[in-house]
Amino acid sequence: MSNMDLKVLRHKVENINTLPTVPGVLKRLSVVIEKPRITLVEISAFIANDPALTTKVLKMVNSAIYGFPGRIASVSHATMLLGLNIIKGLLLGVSVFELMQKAMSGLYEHSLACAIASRVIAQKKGLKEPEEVSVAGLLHDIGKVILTLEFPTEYQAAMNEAQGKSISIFDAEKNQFNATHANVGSWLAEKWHFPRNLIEVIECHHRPALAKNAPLETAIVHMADLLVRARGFGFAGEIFVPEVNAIAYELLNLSSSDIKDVLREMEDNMESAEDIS
Amino acid sequence: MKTIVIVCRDIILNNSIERSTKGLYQSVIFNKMPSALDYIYNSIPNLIVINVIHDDPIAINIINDIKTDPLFYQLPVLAILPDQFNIDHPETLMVEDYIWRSDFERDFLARVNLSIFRSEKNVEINPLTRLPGNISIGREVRERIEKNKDFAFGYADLDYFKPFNDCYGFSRGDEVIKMTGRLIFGIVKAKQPQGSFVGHIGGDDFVFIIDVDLVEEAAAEIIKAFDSLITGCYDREDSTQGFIQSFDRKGKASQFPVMGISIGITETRSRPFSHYGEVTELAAEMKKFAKQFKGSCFKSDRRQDKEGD
Amino acid sequence: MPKIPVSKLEPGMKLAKPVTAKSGMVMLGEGTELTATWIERIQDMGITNVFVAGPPIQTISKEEALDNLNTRFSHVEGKPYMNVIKKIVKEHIEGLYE
Repeated sequence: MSNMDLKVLRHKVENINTLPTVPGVLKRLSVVIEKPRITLVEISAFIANDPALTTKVLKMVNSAIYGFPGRIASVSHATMLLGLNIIKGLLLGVSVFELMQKAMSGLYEHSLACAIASRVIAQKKGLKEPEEVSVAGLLHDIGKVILTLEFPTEYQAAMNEAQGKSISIFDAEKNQFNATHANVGSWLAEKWHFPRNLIEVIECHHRPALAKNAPLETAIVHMADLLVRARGFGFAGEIFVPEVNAIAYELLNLSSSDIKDVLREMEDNMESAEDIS
Repeated sequence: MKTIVIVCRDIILNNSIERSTKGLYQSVIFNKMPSALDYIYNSIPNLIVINVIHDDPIAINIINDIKTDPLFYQLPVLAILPDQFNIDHPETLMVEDYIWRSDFERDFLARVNLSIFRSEKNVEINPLTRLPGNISIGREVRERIEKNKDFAFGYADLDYFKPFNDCYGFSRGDEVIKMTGRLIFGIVKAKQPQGSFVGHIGGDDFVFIIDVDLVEEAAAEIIKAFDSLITGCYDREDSTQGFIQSFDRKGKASQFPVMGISIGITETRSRPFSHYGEVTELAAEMKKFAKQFKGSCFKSDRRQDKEGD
Repeated sequence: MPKIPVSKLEPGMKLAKPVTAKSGMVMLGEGTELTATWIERIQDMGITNVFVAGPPIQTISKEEALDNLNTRFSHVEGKPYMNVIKKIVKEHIEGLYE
């Protein structure tokens, strides 16, 4: 059992200023920033494909300076409200995490696939803002990025334990940190004033029955996460597919052709490995 | 204490700056612009001092881009210039003030004080949205009329804003106003970075000036964005049912639908204007017309039957 | 109908979705067979990815893919709904090799 003090852990997490991204994104970023007549749509699409950029933009637009904290959950809304010049300035400050590059690209791919799957399922369920669910899918494992960033050795130990003892990464994290990536991610999301529903999805995507405000969105990301792992896209800390939450599965009531559509959409849109790293 | 952000790599200068501002201003020093930006975004300082290296004003350009945003509009910039710097081209040096390296010891603190003093003089800016008001709007329209430039003028306001304010309180009403201001600004500036203008008359009334060829696109985008953002401002039960319970002007309990935005558009191609008042009057008429329709829409005086949604 | 980077395009591939210029004008329609000239043109336009007709290019054999699938599901055999899900994913994977 871990002797990590939760207060200390939380304090460290809340003091994070910005999250890093993968080298591939940084490469494309300079092209994007320098493009003369880039549109809001183009820059949104670029940002929405990266968890670190997405959190940076959401953090900015939900900050006290803009005056409507906890309201903005989609990248296209954020870019419209921030405006091109502010966004370009934000992108200038993006950093790259060279050390854990390999581990990060697996998680990156997993998050991207989950964003796509979440969007498709949200569209099938007729949700008004599928983009917001897509963002939740993109950011659901942000806690893993945080833990890898702040405690690389301990997180590697957790991954080794998950592999060696055939337990879930979730449980291995609990052993190492007394907290899981779901807790940690939700702490940061709360500190950065992300909307309630988004925080809840990050916190409850493994235990969707606990979601009070956004049970449908949480169920969607739970299912999307599962399908990504079932298909084997990326790497989220373990290779084994977890058990689906029965209540979430029943709530979504997806047909097999629905699920096939989700898989097909992911297949078509996952960029080749070279593009990412 | 007021804050100054300094972007400078020169250790001698930095030490000098810290010494002279000690106890008077909070100085925060950065070696590079990107790290400075992060800080500036999170806590808008009172002044930015940039040490210009050779003839490379990139850092200044970055700040000037940021300053087109209403939130950072009043941020003064003081540039420290190397003695060989060529100041003959004003476009390369868009700053509020500059100081020569050789004058630094003598003049720095005085220049800092003056720059901050100048920036705080009363400029007519809406405290909520930080967008310019009536005087600036009038000036922008008049200038374009005088120069015979074609332009389109959009006049927007919110439908059912008062019941929202009454039901949810000023604080949330203010959030909606701020959001609308930023929305209109972001979309108009993205469509036309140079030569466009966004103003806030007060309350829930906004105006924007944009190219004739872009105005309908811009209006349509503003409407789409507003409609998708506004539902998030309501409590879940209210947004699901599509209305709120409140009291009308006579005090009677009534149901009010989710807010919409109505935009009236007028432009100089279909009828030339000789006077600022004509522009605003006609735009107001179009806006009034737009308000007669359920939900958000825009009405342009160019085509009376054009639907905006 | 995979989306592949323009660096991997080869003559003979057919477009699954049209290629449009920034203005929205369609440069190459759906079903166009790409020639070396067109590929160069697409690269010049600064486009990074293009949708090409046909099943996604697989890097591992079908047997290996299905083997991996079994391993991934090994902890949840027989658990509620998991067999259904596995079956659907299996069919999807098999479809990639047709």
